[in-house]
Amino acid sequence: MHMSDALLSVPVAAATWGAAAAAIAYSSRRLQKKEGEKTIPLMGVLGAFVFAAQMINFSIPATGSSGHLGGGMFLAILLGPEAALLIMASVLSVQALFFADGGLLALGANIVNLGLIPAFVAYPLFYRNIAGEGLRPGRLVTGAFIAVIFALQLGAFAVVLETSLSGISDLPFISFLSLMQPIHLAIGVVEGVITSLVLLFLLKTDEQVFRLESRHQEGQPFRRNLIAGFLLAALLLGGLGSWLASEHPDGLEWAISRVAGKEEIAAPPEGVHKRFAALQEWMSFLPDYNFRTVNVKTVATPEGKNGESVFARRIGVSVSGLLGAGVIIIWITIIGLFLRKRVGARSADG
Amino acid sequence: MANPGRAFADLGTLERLAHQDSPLHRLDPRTRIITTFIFILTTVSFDRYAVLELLPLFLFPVAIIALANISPLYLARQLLLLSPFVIFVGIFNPLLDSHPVRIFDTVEIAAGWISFCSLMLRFLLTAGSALLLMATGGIMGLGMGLQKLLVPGEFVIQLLLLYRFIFLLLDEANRMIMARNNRTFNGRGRGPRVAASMIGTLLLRTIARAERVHQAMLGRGFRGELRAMKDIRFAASDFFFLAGWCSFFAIVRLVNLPDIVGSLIIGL
Repeated sequence: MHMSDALLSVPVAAATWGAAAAAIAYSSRRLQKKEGEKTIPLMGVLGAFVFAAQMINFSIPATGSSGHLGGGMFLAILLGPEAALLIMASVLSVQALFFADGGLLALGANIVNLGLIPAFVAYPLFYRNIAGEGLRPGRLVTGAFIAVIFALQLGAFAVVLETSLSGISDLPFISFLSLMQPIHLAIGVVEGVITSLVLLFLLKTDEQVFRLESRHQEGQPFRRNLIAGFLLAALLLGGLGSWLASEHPDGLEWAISRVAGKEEIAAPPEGVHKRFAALQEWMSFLPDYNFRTVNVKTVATPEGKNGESVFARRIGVSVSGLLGAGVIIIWITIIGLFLRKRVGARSADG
Repeated sequence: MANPGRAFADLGTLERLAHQDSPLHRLDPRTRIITTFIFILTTVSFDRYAVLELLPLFLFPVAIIALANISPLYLARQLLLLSPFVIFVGIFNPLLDSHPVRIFDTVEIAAGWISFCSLMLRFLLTAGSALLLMATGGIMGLGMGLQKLLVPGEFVIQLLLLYRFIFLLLDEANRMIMARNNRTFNGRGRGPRVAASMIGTLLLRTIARAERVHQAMLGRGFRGELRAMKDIRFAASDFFFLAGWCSFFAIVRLVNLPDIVGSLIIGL
């Protein structure tokens, strides 16, 4: 499930981009140290493989629907988490850019949900511990199955968390969660089965594939967990911060307008308060994500001309606005047609 | 994305659009990447109830569609195919956020409808502009731009290789799927077991191919870095493009244009 730009707020997007960028930088550095440039072509090709493999769909017995391979966990098992993260990041970039699946701003969130979580959380926590060293089919399959399900559950949880923290959708956290987790449990089981089957096939045909990653035994799992924990903490903190920054004032404002009724909570008209409000207003290019100076002002002033509530004014639907919007749409259309015509004329000339 | 035929057609269309020549295509890729990014940031930074305020932003995609000679129908079709998830998440807004809001002084609707409209507009603007970015530059331009913007080189090369190989591997997957479908009846033999061996086989072939390609690249002097025949340059036109659009975005963000235009008209 891809996050979409439209559902994200700037702070959440920034936090997830930060986590994704850190993970990409860390993985690139480690890979370079480990293998030099030799894995790069292989990674590019395997990224394309993920696309192609997702095309090979299959019918799920006893249901009318079909499923396909996920990618993140599968790649982590074959190539190690660093390469898997980089491959998933580029697969998601291509999906965002060429299919608008996700979006540029949501790319960070998608890399976290579908790359970082499978490769750096589910893989070391479940797959590594269950599968262990060596290639025993039973443990391999069990590990892969459980890790895939866990990765999808956590990924779905992350989608819900990011959406809720952004506050664009009104879906309450718990209801959205109770919708997403079961759906992703079903998807996880299907993905777990196909991942396990492919791994079994590879084990039977060509064991060499499992040695693509040059294994290294210097107590890696612990450090991996540490990094994963650190990144997750950063993500949560960023998210929490953004919640405090953008949601709480909302609630506060509601509470104020409800409690005070006529919203006449007079802020001291002079002095520090006013100066700060003015300063904030001047500085806030993105007022929604600062401390809502607009609303502070609205609350502080007495009722508006027609007795509109704070709420209605914040939404700001007015006749003049509608009229102006109509005119602007007409302008944009005219400009578009004009530009098109000029370009057309020029290319006809040339 | 489950249909290889469509994925092919989409990539092909974008590639064809990217190879056109227009003033926009001649811009430095960095200019287009940064402008698009600022555009998306501006769009999502609006209040969740902003509807009318978002409308002036449509000037950006409309101007690019017009200047770069892109079919609006193509774009509309892509956006329509992508919309279900956003609609699913947003459609509950009207039910959950039912505070009545008065519009036109007479009609009352739930505030949720307004945030839903806002969500859909955001979706159109952000998803559309990402597609337009690719339609005016293509993958090579993007790669060069990203590298100049200090994205790790390994990542960029990987991205370019991935893109090149998508065409080859989609073709291969397509042939395998066709072969399977021609040999199976009534849905028997289309289950996970067969698909698993297909995916496994595809993987083994892909790895073998990757090794051959790598050898060939090494033979031609590949040292793990990206080189281009033509260096990209940040020219005066880039500066005007970037500065012009960014000031437009800033004005739209800071000033409620529809309201001002409307009051002017009413005032007249």
